[in-house]
Amino acid sequence: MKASVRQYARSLFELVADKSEAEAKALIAKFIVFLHRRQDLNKAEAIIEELDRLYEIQNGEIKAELISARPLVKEAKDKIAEYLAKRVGGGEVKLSDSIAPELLGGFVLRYNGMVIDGSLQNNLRKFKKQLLTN
Amino acid sequence: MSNTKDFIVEQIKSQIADFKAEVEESSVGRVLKISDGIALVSGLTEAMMSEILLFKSAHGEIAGVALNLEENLVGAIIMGEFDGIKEGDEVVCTKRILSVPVGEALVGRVVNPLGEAMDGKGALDTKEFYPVEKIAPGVITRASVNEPVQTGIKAIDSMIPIGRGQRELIIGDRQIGKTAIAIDAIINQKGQNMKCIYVAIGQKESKVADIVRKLEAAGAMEYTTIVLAGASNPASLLYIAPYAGCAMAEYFLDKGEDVLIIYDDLSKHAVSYREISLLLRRPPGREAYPGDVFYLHSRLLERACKLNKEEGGGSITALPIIETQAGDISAYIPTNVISITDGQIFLEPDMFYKGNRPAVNAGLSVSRVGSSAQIKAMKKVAGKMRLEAAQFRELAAFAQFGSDLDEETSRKLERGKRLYEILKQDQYQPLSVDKQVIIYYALINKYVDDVPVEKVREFEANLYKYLDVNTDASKAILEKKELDADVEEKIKTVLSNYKETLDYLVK
Repeated sequence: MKASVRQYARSLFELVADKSEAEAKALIAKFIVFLHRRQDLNKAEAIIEELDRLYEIQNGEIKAELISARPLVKEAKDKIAEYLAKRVGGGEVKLSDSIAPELLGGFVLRYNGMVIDGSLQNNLRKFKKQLLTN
Repeated sequence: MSNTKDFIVEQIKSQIADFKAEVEESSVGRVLKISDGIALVSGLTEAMMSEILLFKSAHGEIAGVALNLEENLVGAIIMGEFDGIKEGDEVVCTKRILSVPVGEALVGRVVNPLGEAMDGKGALDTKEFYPVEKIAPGVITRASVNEPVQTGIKAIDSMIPIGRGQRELIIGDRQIGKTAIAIDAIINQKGQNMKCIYVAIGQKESKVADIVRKLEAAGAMEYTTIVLAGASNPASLLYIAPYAGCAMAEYFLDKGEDVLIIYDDLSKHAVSYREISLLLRRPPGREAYPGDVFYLHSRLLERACKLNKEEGGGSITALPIIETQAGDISAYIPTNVISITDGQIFLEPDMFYKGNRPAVNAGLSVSRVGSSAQIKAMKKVAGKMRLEAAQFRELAAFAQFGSDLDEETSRKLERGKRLYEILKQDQYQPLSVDKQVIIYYALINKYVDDVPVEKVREFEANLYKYLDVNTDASKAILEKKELDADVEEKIKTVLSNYKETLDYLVK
């Protein structure tokens, strides 16, 4: 039976969880041989990504993407990070930001498959819908 | 003129003032794969079963429904045009379970399974929504079936009676009059305190247009809703159509009203579900239908019910239709639905081509609960008549070989022939219950024995005209619903009086 990326990542994650560095190195080397034997080496990259995610979950880290119409000042970003940390109940928030002028104003925040949309673009779209239905 | 302008400006101003900018949070995913009305979506960690998903495509937002929740992806069916959706498009959860608008506004309208008007009579003014999938009422809330549904079809009301809250299958080959029975039943519900819902699943739209026209002409659209998922609609709409129709019926049920719902037809529904299931990569079983195809129909038909007094006493009577291939009722879907329903009306090609229309096979057709719902007068005459019909069927096969028959046998055969003449009925000509009782009474009490077989239909038609004028007996039947000595006397009088006007009787 073929194992999924998620299954590989989870088992490796659990294996090395409470091991010392030297032990972990040996285990990882064995794991790669194991992957090769099962002809699943091409999944390695996806497994690394998944491991990254598992590690984040364990440490309560949240990766978030902040998109805004104009560059935001550091204070505003900190405030958003603080809000998110409180909302999700995790530890550190890693915020990466980008600029998208088509949002017109406000911001869009993406994290863990969720979106918080407070952009002017979305509000205008909703307003248009309301005008058309009433 | 300037007044209206000011009004409009004022309206817009107030709308703008009322609008509150909001921040909204939602679970999102991206389209991984899209094919024939099915989408595989990554992400959507918060998605619920049969939740509405919004696909944000280049052509605007398109609704879909989550059907498969897997470890790292969601399988969804798309309700509408899926051409505009591309791989990588964003998909948003709405936290709403699939539901349809319900209410009085739907009566007299043609709508699609999502409750949008299809008849060009403008948008529907509905406020309430009912979920499409709902668990059927439980044992405690139900009552036994005790009121009849008069279909107006002689062969059915007498031999295969249907009660309010029953599920009676109509089964037969293509082009044999299955829909005709259903439409006649709808037409006959005029003034019977019954709402009707006709769900067309995968039907030709020309056929549906024809049905709407016929119902309008008969004044039956005043209490009828048509839910249309045509042959050109995607399988997803065909799949939800009967559930949506049932949700619309449940609105009236909850108000304590009686509803007649017709699913035309469930074989096409099963085929559309098979299409969806195979595209979602669920394992195929017998005839390539998925494993849960029985549950597909049982959960739908179980929602037909008769509620007890405390629950309002409403009912949903379901008439599912199944199309067979070359009369094969032992195929997968027909056997499934036969076992779910409380009986079936079996239409037979042989009878149809012999001119016995409606081509109801009285031997294979049964009704498991309806006879307790017949009015007493009908029960009395129908019992004898059913016996008469059974004896005739047996004798007719036997009499083909022998020519010398004793008097008793030949008399039974003659009466049987007349009985089959009486069971013939034209389309769109439903017959009221009092007239049905009188014609059966005439038959079993030998009033028709001296009418030549080829004259029976003429005898019958003129009798009804005569009864329209001389209403004594009809009124007595409708009032007492029983066949006591007094009513019987009235029927005898009207029959003998009528027969005196005839000149073709055999001496």
